[in-house]
Amino acid sequence: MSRLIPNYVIIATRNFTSVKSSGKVPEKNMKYHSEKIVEDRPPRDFGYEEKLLQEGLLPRLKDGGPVKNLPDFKPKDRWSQKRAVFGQNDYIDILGSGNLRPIDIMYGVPYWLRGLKDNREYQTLIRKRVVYGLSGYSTQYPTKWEKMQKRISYLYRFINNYQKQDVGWKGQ
Amino acid sequence: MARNIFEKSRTILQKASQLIENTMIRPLNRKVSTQIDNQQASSVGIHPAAFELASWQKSVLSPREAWIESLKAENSEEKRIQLLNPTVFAHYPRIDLLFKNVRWQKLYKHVSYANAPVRHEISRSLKKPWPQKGMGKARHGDRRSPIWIGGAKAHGPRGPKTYYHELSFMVRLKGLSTALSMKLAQDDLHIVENLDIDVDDPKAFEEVLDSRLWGPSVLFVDDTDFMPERISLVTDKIPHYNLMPVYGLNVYSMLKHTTLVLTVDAVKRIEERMLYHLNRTNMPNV
Repeated sequence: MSRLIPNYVIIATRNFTSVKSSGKVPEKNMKYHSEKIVEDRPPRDFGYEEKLLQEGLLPRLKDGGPVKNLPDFKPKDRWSQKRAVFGQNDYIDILGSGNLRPIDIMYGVPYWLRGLKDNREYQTLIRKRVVYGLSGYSTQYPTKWEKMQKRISYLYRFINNYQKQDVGWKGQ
Repeated sequence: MARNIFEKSRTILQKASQLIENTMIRPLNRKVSTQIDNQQASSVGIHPAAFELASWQKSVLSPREAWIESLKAENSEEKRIQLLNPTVFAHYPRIDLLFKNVRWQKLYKHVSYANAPVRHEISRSLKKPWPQKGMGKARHGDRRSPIWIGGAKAHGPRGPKTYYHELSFMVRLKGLSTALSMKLAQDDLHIVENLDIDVDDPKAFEEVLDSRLWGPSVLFVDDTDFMPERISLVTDKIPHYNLMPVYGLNVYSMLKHTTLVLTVDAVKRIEERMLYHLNRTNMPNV
Protein backbone atom coordinates (compact mmCIF):
# COMPACT_ATOMS: atom_id res chain seq x y z
CA MET A 1 0.00 0.00 0.00
CA SER A 2 2.90 2.33 0.54
CA ARG A 3 3.56 1.95 -3.16
CA LEU A 4 0.79 4.51 -3.78
CA ILE A 5 2.96 7.17 -2.29
CA PRO A 6 6.50 6.11 -3.10
CA ASN A 7 9.28 7.95 -1.44
CA TYR A 8 10.84 9.22 -4.62
CA VAL A 9 7.67 11.18 -5.44
CA ILE A 10 7.79 12.82 -2.04
CA ILE A 11 11.42 13.55 -2.58
CA ALA A 12 10.63 15.10 -5.96
CA THR A 13 7.85 17.31 -4.59
CA ARG A 14 9.91 18.31 -1.64
CA ASN A 15 12.78 19.03 -3.94
CA PHE A 16 10.71 21.41 -6.02
CA THR A 17 9.33 23.30 -3.09
CA SER A 18 12.62 23.54 -1.33
CA VAL A 19 14.43 24.64 -4.46
CA LYS A 20 11.77 27.22 -5.25
CA SER A 21 11.65 28.54 -1.77
CA SER A 22 15.26 28.71 -0.76
CA GLY A 23 17.17 28.27 -4.00
CA LYS A 24 19.24 25.54 -2.42
CA VAL A 25 19.09 21.76 -2.87
CA PRO A 26 18.95 20.13 0.55
CA GLU A 27 21.47 17.39 1.17
CA LYS A 28 18.88 14.93 2.44
CA ASN A 29 17.17 14.74 -0.95
CA MET A 30 20.31 14.05 -2.93
CA LYS A 31 20.40 10.26 -2.92
CA TYR A 32 22.26 7.79 -5.04
CA HIS A 33 20.30 4.89 -6.49
CA SER A 34 21.80 2.53 -3.98
CA GLU A 35 20.59 4.76 -1.15
CA LYS A 36 17.05 5.17 -2.38
CA ILE A 37 14.99 2.57 -0.57
CA VAL A 38 11.27 1.81 -0.46
CA GLU A 39 10.60 -0.42 2.53
CA ASP A 40 14.28 -1.38 2.73
CA ARG A 41 14.37 -2.24 -1.00
CA PRO A 42 15.30 -0.32 -4.12
CA PRO A 43 12.22 0.88 -6.09
CA ARG A 44 10.81 -1.75 -8.42
CA ASP A 45 8.44 -1.30 -11.37
CA PHE A 46 9.46 2.28 -11.85
CA GLY A 47 6.66 4.19 -13.57
CA TYR A 48 4.12 1.39 -13.09
CA GLU A 49 0.67 2.46 -11.96
CA GLU A 50 -1.39 -0.24 -10.24
CA LYS A 51 -4.87 -0.22 -11.73
CA LEU A 52 -6.46 -2.69 -9.34
CA LEU A 53 -8.13 -1.30 -6.28
CA GLN A 54 -5.83 -1.85 -3.35
CA GLU A 55 -8.22 -0.84 -0.61
CA GLY A 56 -11.75 -1.50 0.54
CA LEU A 57 -13.74 -4.75 1.01
CA LEU A 58 -12.98 -8.01 -0.82
CA PRO A 59 -15.07 -8.83 -3.92
CA ARG A 60 -18.47 -10.38 -3.37
CA LEU A 61 -21.61 -11.29 -5.26
CA LYS A 62 -24.82 -9.27 -5.34
CA ASP A 63 -26.78 -12.18 -3.90
CA GLY A 64 -24.48 -12.31 -0.94
CA GLY A 65 -23.54 -15.91 -1.75
CA PRO A 66 -20.11 -17.47 -1.38
CA VAL A 67 -17.34 -16.70 -3.85
CA LYS A 68 -15.87 -19.75 -5.59
CA ASN A 69 -12.59 -20.84 -4.10
CA LEU A 70 -10.33 -23.81 -4.39
CA PRO A 71 -11.91 -26.70 -2.49
CA ASP A 72 -10.74 -27.29 1.04
CA PHE A 73 -8.10 -29.93 1.45
CA LYS A 74 -9.66 -33.08 2.87
CA PRO A 75 -7.00 -35.69 3.57
CA LYS A 76 -7.96 -39.24 2.74
CA ASP A 77 -8.54 -41.66 5.59
CA ARG A 78 -5.55 -43.95 5.07
CA TRP A 79 -6.82 -46.39 7.71
CA SER A 80 -10.36 -46.86 6.43
CA GLN A 81 -11.57 -50.43 6.35
CA LYS A 82 -10.67 -51.09 2.73
CA ARG A 83 -7.31 -49.31 2.90
CA ALA A 84 -6.19 -50.90 6.16
CA VAL A 85 -6.45 -54.45 4.81
CA PHE A 86 -5.70 -53.75 1.16
CA GLY A 87 -3.90 -56.64 -0.46
CA GLN A 88 -5.27 -59.26 1.91
CA ASN A 89 -5.52 -62.73 0.39
CA ASP A 90 -3.31 -61.92 -2.58
CA TYR A 91 -0.95 -64.74 -1.61
CA ILE A 92 -3.65 -67.27 -0.83
CA ASP A 93 -2.28 -69.78 -3.33
CA ILE A 94 1.06 -69.73 -1.47
CA LEU A 95 -0.01 -69.42 2.15
CA GLY A 96 -3.39 -71.10 1.89
CA SER A 97 -4.23 -74.69 1.16
CA GLY A 98 -3.55 -74.24 -2.56
CA ASN A 99 -6.98 -74.75 -4.08
CA LEU A 100 -7.66 -71.01 -4.40
CA ARG A 101 -5.82 -68.53 -6.57
CA PRO A 102 -5.94 -64.71 -6.45
CA ILE A 103 -7.85 -64.73 -9.73
CA ASP A 104 -10.70 -66.59 -8.01
CA ILE A 105 -11.07 -63.90 -5.34
CA MET A 106 -11.23 -60.73 -7.44
CA TYR A 107 -14.68 -59.88 -6.12
CA GLY A 108 -14.40 -56.14 -6.69
CA VAL A 109 -13.86 -56.61 -10.42
CA PRO A 110 -16.78 -57.35 -12.79
CA TYR A 111 -17.07 -61.02 -13.59
CA TRP A 112 -16.20 -60.77 -17.25
CA LEU A 113 -13.05 -58.72 -16.56
CA ARG A 114 -11.44 -61.02 -14.02
CA GLY A 115 -8.13 -62.30 -15.25
CA LEU A 116 -8.36 -60.39 -18.51
CA LYS A 117 -4.91 -59.32 -19.60
CA ASP A 118 -5.83 -57.56 -22.81
CA ASN A 119 -5.67 -53.84 -23.14
CA ARG A 120 -7.24 -53.79 -26.56
CA GLU A 121 -10.81 -52.70 -26.85
CA TYR A 122 -11.56 -55.34 -29.48
CA GLN A 123 -10.56 -58.23 -27.27
CA THR A 124 -12.42 -56.82 -24.28
CA LEU A 125 -15.61 -56.54 -26.31
CA ILE A 126 -15.24 -60.08 -27.65
CA ARG A 127 -14.87 -61.35 -24.10
CA LYS A 128 -17.96 -59.41 -23.01
CA ARG A 129 -19.95 -60.87 -25.89
CA VAL A 130 -18.84 -64.39 -25.00
CA VAL A 131 -19.80 -63.98 -21.34
CA TYR A 132 -23.08 -62.11 -21.81
CA GLY A 133 -24.13 -63.47 -25.18
CA LEU A 134 -26.59 -66.07 -23.94
CA SER A 135 -27.54 -64.38 -20.68
CA GLY A 136 -30.34 -62.16 -21.92
CA TYR A 137 -28.22 -59.01 -22.20
CA SER A 138 -29.29 -58.67 -25.84
CA THR A 139 -32.96 -58.47 -24.88
CA GLN A 140 -32.55 -56.39 -21.72
CA TYR A 141 -30.24 -53.77 -23.20
CA PRO A 142 -30.92 -53.94 -26.95
CA THR A 143 -29.41 -50.57 -27.85
CA LYS A 144 -26.19 -51.28 -25.97
CA TRP A 145 -25.98 -54.73 -27.48
CA GLU A 146 -26.52 -53.41 -30.99
CA LYS A 147 -23.89 -50.72 -30.57
CA MET A 148 -21.45 -53.28 -29.18
CA GLN A 149 -22.00 -55.56 -32.17
CA LYS A 150 -21.48 -52.72 -34.59
CA ARG A 151 -18.33 -51.62 -32.76
CA ILE A 152 -16.92 -55.15 -32.91
CA SER A 153 -17.51 -55.43 -36.65
CA TYR A 154 -16.05 -51.96 -37.22
CA LEU A 155 -12.92 -52.76 -35.19
CA TYR A 156 -12.52 -56.09 -37.02
CA ARG A 157 -12.44 -54.29 -40.34
CA PHE A 158 -10.21 -51.48 -39.05
CA ILE A 159 -7.62 -53.78 -37.45
CA ASN A 160 -7.44 -56.10 -40.43
CA ASN A 161 -7.58 -53.57 -43.24
CA TYR A 162 -6.17 -50.29 -42.00
CA GLN A 163 -3.95 -50.93 -38.99
CA LYS A 164 -0.37 -52.13 -39.13
CA GLN A 165 0.43 -55.47 -37.58
CA ASP A 166 2.91 -54.29 -34.96
CA VAL A 167 0.91 -51.44 -33.54
CA GLY A 168 2.07 -51.74 -29.95
CA TRP A 169 0.45 -49.56 -27.31
CA LYS A 170 -0.82 -46.89 -29.67
CA GLY A 171 -3.62 -48.90 -31.21
CA GLN A 172 -6.83 -49.10 -29.21
CA MET B 1 5.80 -42.42 19.20
CA ALA B 2 4.94 -41.54 15.63
CA ARG B 3 7.32 -42.89 13.01
CA ASN B 4 7.09 -41.71 9.44
CA ILE B 5 6.80 -44.53 6.92
CA PHE B 6 9.10 -42.67 4.53
CA GLU B 7 11.85 -42.57 7.16
CA LYS B 8 11.20 -46.26 7.56
CA SER B 9 11.97 -46.95 3.92
CA ARG B 10 15.22 -45.03 4.22
CA THR B 11 16.25 -47.06 7.27
CA ILE B 12 15.34 -50.23 5.39
CA LEU B 13 17.87 -49.36 2.69
CA GLN B 14 20.54 -48.50 5.24
CA LYS B 15 20.01 -51.66 7.19
CA ALA B 16 19.77 -53.78 4.04
CA SER B 17 23.35 -52.88 3.21
CA GLN B 18 24.39 -54.15 6.63
CA LEU B 19 22.35 -57.29 6.11
CA ILE B 20 24.12 -57.96 2.85
CA GLU B 21 27.49 -58.01 4.59
CA ASN B 22 26.33 -60.19 7.43
CA THR B 23 23.92 -62.69 5.99
CA MET B 24 24.65 -63.06 2.30
CA ILE B 25 23.94 -66.55 1.05
CA ARG B 26 26.42 -67.40 -1.68
CA PRO B 27 25.95 -70.34 -4.03
CA LEU B 28 27.94 -73.46 -3.19
CA ASN B 29 30.57 -73.53 -5.93
CA ARG B 30 33.17 -75.67 -4.30
CA LYS B 31 33.39 -78.70 -2.07
CA VAL B 32 34.23 -78.12 1.59
CA SER B 33 35.59 -80.48 4.20
CA THR B 34 33.52 -79.97 7.37
CA GLN B 35 30.25 -81.77 8.01
CA ILE B 36 27.01 -80.26 9.28
CA ASP B 37 25.30 -81.09 12.52
CA ASN B 38 22.30 -83.35 12.05
CA GLN B 39 20.33 -81.60 14.73
CA GLN B 40 20.93 -78.19 13.25
CA ALA B 41 20.15 -79.45 9.78
CA SER B 42 16.80 -80.90 10.79
CA SER B 43 15.82 -77.67 12.56
CA VAL B 44 16.61 -75.73 9.41
CA GLY B 45 14.75 -78.12 7.15
CA ILE B 46 17.70 -79.42 5.10
CA HIS B 47 18.35 -83.13 4.65
CA PRO B 48 21.51 -83.94 6.63
CA ALA B 49 23.05 -86.03 3.87
CA ALA B 50 22.62 -83.38 1.19
CA PHE B 51 25.99 -81.66 1.25
CA GLU B 52 28.87 -80.52 3.45
CA LEU B 53 29.08 -76.97 4.73
CA ALA B 54 31.81 -74.61 5.88
CA SER B 55 31.56 -72.84 9.22
CA TRP B 56 30.52 -69.54 7.68
CA GLN B 57 27.84 -71.34 5.74
CA LYS B 58 26.66 -73.03 8.89
CA SER B 59 26.30 -69.69 10.64
CA VAL B 60 24.42 -68.25 7.70
CA LEU B 61 22.07 -71.21 7.48
CA SER B 62 21.60 -71.54 11.23
CA PRO B 63 18.13 -70.77 12.55
CA ARG B 64 17.41 -67.31 13.86
CA GLU B 65 16.02 -66.85 17.33
CA ALA B 66 13.22 -64.69 18.70
CA TRP B 67 11.63 -64.29 22.11
CA ILE B 68 8.10 -65.55 22.55
CA GLU B 69 6.32 -62.62 24.16
CA SER B 70 2.74 -62.05 25.21
CA LEU B 71 0.19 -59.31 24.72
CA LYS B 72 -0.67 -59.31 28.41
CA ALA B 73 1.28 -57.45 31.08
CA GLU B 74 4.85 -58.64 31.17
CA ASN B 75 5.64 -61.25 33.77
CA SER B 76 8.93 -61.97 35.41
CA GLU B 77 8.77 -65.58 34.25
CA GLU B 78 11.39 -66.99 31.92
CA LYS B 79 10.71 -66.51 28.26
CA ARG B 80 10.99 -69.19 25.65
CA ILE B 81 12.78 -68.85 22.36
CA GLN B 82 11.28 -69.58 18.95
CA LEU B 83 13.62 -70.77 16.21
CA LEU B 84 13.01 -69.22 12.82
CA ASN B 85 14.01 -70.74 9.51
CA PRO B 86 16.66 -68.58 7.79
CA THR B 87 15.37 -69.29 4.30
CA VAL B 88 12.11 -67.61 5.27
CA PHE B 89 13.17 -65.16 7.96
CA ALA B 90 16.76 -64.33 6.98
CA HIS B 91 16.49 -64.05 3.24
CA TYR B 92 18.76 -61.83 1.15
CA PRO B 93 16.98 -58.47 1.08
CA ARG B 94 15.64 -58.26 -2.45
CA ILE B 95 14.21 -54.75 -2.47
CA ASP B 96 13.57 -54.90 -6.19
CA LEU B 97 11.28 -57.89 -5.67
CA LEU B 98 9.50 -56.04 -2.87
CA PHE B 99 8.78 -53.25 -5.29
CA LYS B 100 7.49 -55.69 -7.91
CA ASN B 101 5.22 -57.37 -5.39
CA VAL B 102 3.75 -54.11 -4.15
CA ARG B 103 3.16 -52.85 -7.66
CA TRP B 104 1.51 -56.13 -8.65
CA GLN B 105 -0.77 -56.06 -5.63
CA LYS B 106 -1.86 -52.50 -6.39
CA LEU B 107 -2.42 -53.03 -10.09
CA TYR B 108 -3.68 -56.53 -10.82
CA LYS B 109 -7.14 -55.81 -9.44
CA HIS B 110 -7.30 -52.26 -10.77
CA VAL B 111 -9.84 -51.48 -13.49
CA SER B 112 -10.09 -48.11 -15.22
CA TYR B 113 -13.70 -47.45 -16.21
CA ALA B 114 -12.88 -44.37 -18.30
CA ASN B 115 -14.95 -44.53 -21.48
CA ALA B 116 -15.57 -41.71 -23.95
CA PRO B 117 -18.35 -42.36 -26.46
CA VAL B 118 -17.42 -42.58 -30.11
CA ARG B 119 -19.32 -40.57 -32.71
CA HIS B 120 -21.59 -43.52 -33.50
CA GLU B 121 -22.56 -43.80 -29.81
CA ILE B 122 -23.53 -40.17 -29.20
CA SER B 123 -27.29 -39.74 -28.92
CA ARG B 124 -27.75 -36.94 -31.39
CA SER B 125 -29.55 -36.74 -34.67
CA LEU B 126 -27.88 -37.84 -37.89
CA LYS B 127 -29.58 -35.07 -39.78
CA LYS B 128 -27.40 -32.82 -41.89
CA PRO B 129 -27.48 -29.48 -39.99
CA TRP B 130 -27.62 -27.25 -43.11
CA PRO B 131 -27.18 -27.75 -46.84
CA GLN B 132 -23.74 -28.43 -48.22
CA LYS B 133 -23.51 -25.30 -50.35
CA GLY B 134 -24.93 -21.82 -50.46
CA MET B 135 -25.03 -21.01 -46.75
CA GLY B 136 -21.62 -19.44 -46.33
CA LYS B 137 -21.06 -21.87 -43.44
CA ALA B 138 -18.62 -24.72 -43.02
CA ARG B 139 -19.77 -28.03 -44.40
CA HIS B 140 -20.97 -30.62 -41.84
CA GLY B 141 -22.74 -33.95 -41.98
CA ASP B 142 -24.03 -34.29 -38.43
CA ARG B 143 -23.66 -32.78 -34.99
CA ARG B 144 -21.94 -35.82 -33.51
CA SER B 145 -18.53 -35.06 -34.92
CA PRO B 146 -15.59 -34.40 -32.57
CA ILE B 147 -15.42 -30.86 -33.91
CA TRP B 148 -18.76 -30.01 -32.36
CA ILE B 149 -19.43 -29.09 -28.77
CA GLY B 150 -21.39 -31.95 -27.28
CA GLY B 151 -20.00 -34.27 -29.91
CA ALA B 152 -17.83 -37.31 -29.56
CA LYS B 153 -14.23 -37.74 -28.49
CA ALA B 154 -12.12 -39.00 -31.38
CA HIS B 155 -9.33 -40.92 -29.66
CA GLY B 156 -10.52 -41.08 -26.11
CA PRO B 157 -10.35 -43.92 -23.60
CA ARG B 158 -12.41 -46.86 -24.70
CA GLY B 159 -14.12 -49.15 -22.29
CA PRO B 160 -13.01 -50.74 -19.07
CA LYS B 161 -9.29 -51.32 -19.09
CA THR B 162 -7.77 -53.97 -16.90
CA TYR B 163 -4.24 -53.94 -15.53
CA TYR B 164 -4.20 -57.61 -14.64
CA HIS B 165 -0.86 -59.33 -14.91
CA GLU B 166 0.69 -62.34 -13.23
CA LEU B 167 3.81 -62.23 -11.17
CA SER B 168 5.93 -65.35 -11.22
CA PHE B 169 5.52 -67.68 -8.30
CA MET B 170 9.12 -67.47 -7.13
CA VAL B 171 9.08 -63.67 -7.24
CA ARG B 172 6.09 -63.66 -4.93
CA LEU B 173 7.66 -66.24 -2.63
CA LYS B 174 10.88 -64.27 -2.38
CA GLY B 175 8.94 -61.06 -1.88
CA LEU B 176 7.21 -62.61 1.12
CA SER B 177 10.44 -63.93 2.59
CA THR B 178 12.21 -60.60 1.99
CA ALA B 179 9.46 -58.71 3.77
CA LEU B 180 9.50 -61.13 6.72
CA SER B 181 13.29 -61.00 6.90
CA MET B 182 13.35 -57.24 6.89
CA LYS B 183 10.75 -57.05 9.62
CA LEU B 184 12.82 -59.40 11.76
CA ALA B 185 16.08 -57.62 11.08
CA GLN B 186 14.64 -54.24 11.97
CA ASP B 187 13.00 -55.34 15.25
CA ASP B 188 9.54 -54.95 13.80
CA LEU B 189 8.63 -58.63 14.11
CA HIS B 190 7.35 -59.93 17.42
CA ILE B 191 6.32 -63.46 18.18
CA VAL B 192 3.55 -64.11 20.63
CA GLU B 193 2.18 -67.24 22.25
CA ASN B 194 -1.43 -66.35 21.41
CA LEU B 195 -3.64 -63.33 20.90
CA ASP B 196 -5.15 -63.27 24.39
CA ILE B 197 -5.23 -59.92 26.14
CA ASP B 198 -6.24 -58.83 29.62
CA VAL B 199 -7.49 -55.33 28.73
CA ASP B 200 -10.96 -54.36 27.47
CA ASP B 201 -10.42 -50.69 26.73
CA PRO B 202 -8.92 -49.81 23.32
CA LYS B 203 -6.95 -46.88 24.73
CA ALA B 204 -5.46 -49.02 27.47
CA PHE B 205 -4.42 -51.62 24.91
CA GLU B 206 -2.84 -48.91 22.80
CA GLU B 207 -0.90 -47.68 25.82
CA VAL B 208 0.38 -51.20 26.49
CA LEU B 209 1.78 -51.46 22.96
CA ASP B 210 3.12 -47.90 22.92
CA SER B 211 5.08 -48.56 26.09
CA ARG B 212 6.84 -51.42 24.29
CA LEU B 213 7.47 -49.19 21.22
CA TRP B 214 5.55 -51.57 18.99
CA GLY B 215 4.92 -48.98 16.32
CA PRO B 216 1.91 -46.82 15.54
CA SER B 217 0.36 -49.53 13.34
CA VAL B 218 0.38 -53.24 14.17
CA LEU B 219 -0.69 -56.29 12.19
CA PHE B 220 -1.63 -59.36 14.23
CA VAL B 221 -1.44 -62.68 12.37
CA ASP B 222 -2.77 -66.01 13.59
CA ASP B 223 -3.28 -69.37 11.94
CA THR B 224 -7.10 -69.31 12.18
CA ASP B 225 -9.96 -67.16 10.90
CA PHE B 226 -11.65 -67.09 14.29
CA MET B 227 -9.83 -64.68 16.57
CA PRO B 228 -10.34 -64.39 20.33
CA GLU B 229 -13.22 -62.20 21.41
CA ARG B 230 -11.39 -59.55 23.40
CA ILE B 231 -8.79 -58.61 20.86
CA SER B 232 -11.41 -58.59 18.10
CA LEU B 233 -13.56 -56.09 19.97
CA VAL B 234 -10.60 -53.92 20.89
CA THR B 235 -9.01 -53.80 17.44
CA ASP B 236 -12.39 -53.16 15.86
CA LYS B 237 -12.29 -49.67 17.38
CA ILE B 238 -8.68 -48.96 16.42
CA PRO B 239 -8.21 -48.68 12.66
CA HIS B 240 -4.43 -49.08 12.66
CA TYR B 241 -4.48 -52.37 14.58
CA ASN B 242 -5.60 -55.14 12.26
CA LEU B 243 -6.10 -58.89 12.54
CA MET B 244 -5.36 -61.30 9.74
CA PRO B 245 -5.19 -65.03 9.16
CA VAL B 246 -2.02 -66.54 7.72
CA TYR B 247 -3.52 -66.97 4.27
CA GLY B 248 -4.26 -63.25 4.18
CA LEU B 249 -0.67 -62.21 4.82
CA ASN B 250 0.89 -60.15 2.02
CA VAL B 251 3.78 -57.83 1.26
CA TYR B 252 1.70 -54.66 0.99
CA SER B 253 0.16 -55.09 4.44
CA MET B 254 3.53 -55.92 5.96
CA LEU B 255 4.96 -52.68 4.63
CA LYS B 256 1.91 -50.62 5.51
CA HIS B 257 1.90 -51.70 9.14
CA THR B 258 4.97 -50.72 11.11
CA THR B 259 4.97 -53.79 13.32
CA LEU B 260 4.11 -57.40 12.59
CA VAL B 261 3.01 -59.70 15.38
CA LEU B 262 2.90 -63.42 14.65
CA THR B 263 1.66 -66.18 16.88
CA VAL B 264 3.68 -69.36 17.24
CA ASP B 265 1.10 -71.25 15.16
CA ALA B 266 1.34 -68.63 12.46
CA VAL B 267 5.13 -68.94 12.32
CA LYS B 268 4.89 -72.71 11.97
CA ARG B 269 2.28 -72.46 9.23
CA ILE B 270 4.21 -69.81 7.30
CA GLU B 271 7.45 -71.81 7.44
CA GLU B 272 5.71 -75.03 6.45
CA ARG B 273 3.99 -73.43 3.48
CA MET B 274 7.03 -71.51 2.24
CA LEU B 275 9.40 -74.45 2.50
CA TYR B 276 6.89 -76.73 0.83
CA HIS B 277 6.64 -74.44 -2.17
CA LEU B 278 10.38 -73.85 -2.31
CA ASN B 279 11.25 -77.53 -2.29
CA ARG B 280 8.40 -79.17 -4.17
CA THR B 281 9.12 -80.90 -7.45
CA ASN B 282 5.59 -80.97 -8.85
CA MET B 283 5.29 -77.26 -9.46
CA PRO B 284 2.29 -76.62 -11.70
CA ASN B 285 2.20 -73.82 -14.21
CA VAL B 286 1.86 -70.91 -11.81
